[in-house]
Amino acid sequence: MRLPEVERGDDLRSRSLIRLISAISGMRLPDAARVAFYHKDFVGPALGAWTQAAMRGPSGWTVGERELMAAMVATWNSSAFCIGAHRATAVHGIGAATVDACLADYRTAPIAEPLRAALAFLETMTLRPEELLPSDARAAMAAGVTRAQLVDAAAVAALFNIITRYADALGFAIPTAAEFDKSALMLLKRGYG
Amino acid sequence: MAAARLDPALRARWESAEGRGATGSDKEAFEIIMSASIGAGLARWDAAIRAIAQASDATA
Repeated sequence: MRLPEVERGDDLRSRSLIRLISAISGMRLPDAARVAFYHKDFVGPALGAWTQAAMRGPSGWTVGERELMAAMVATWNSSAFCIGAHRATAVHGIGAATVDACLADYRTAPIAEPLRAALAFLETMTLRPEELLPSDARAAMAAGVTRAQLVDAAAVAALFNIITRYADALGFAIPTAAEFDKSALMLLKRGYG
Repeated sequence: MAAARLDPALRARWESAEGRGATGSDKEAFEIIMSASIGAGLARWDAAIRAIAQASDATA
């Protein structure tokens, strides 16, 4: 369900910002940014800070690998907006061919084994969290994922299990491929804060 | 692939005219959607951290 107040902004400052950024960028401000501007005294600042830390903070994973994890969670959750947004961002770090191979089947994609093992952990975490066991974590660590890396990957997946749900529940509009590319560059430059 | 879904009964209620009246405003509907989404994400975070902690304990 689309909420008109999220679309247009809930105060004069937000409405002005939405219009200004749309005019400067030459494209409609994506709904993800409109949500970040909306009802800021609810969960926005905390969620934004956690997302910035997980996606751009210090980590044993590169920014491109974390963006790929986000795109994978979006794929498992069938969230068209998040697949498009995070695929477009991940390709700048690890290349379109590798990202698309992962989105098709990460088990056979040409990626490092620790990343593949982390994705297997995140897949169970996303689709069957009640089945996630210490043996799943041990399998990832046996493939070379450190404990800290697994925690970092779990944070990315937890966040995108939140974001994909509200993106779909709020009926995020799907940008064109060119708009996703433009937004990806902004996301790489400015982050999530 | 399994789609991420909020509770179907809640979604149907929001999408009905009666539901919009019951939730009262866009802000309240937004809070319900965000709360349900955050709950689903944090449940998965808890499951992951529990599995990692127990795996680490076993190997310590």
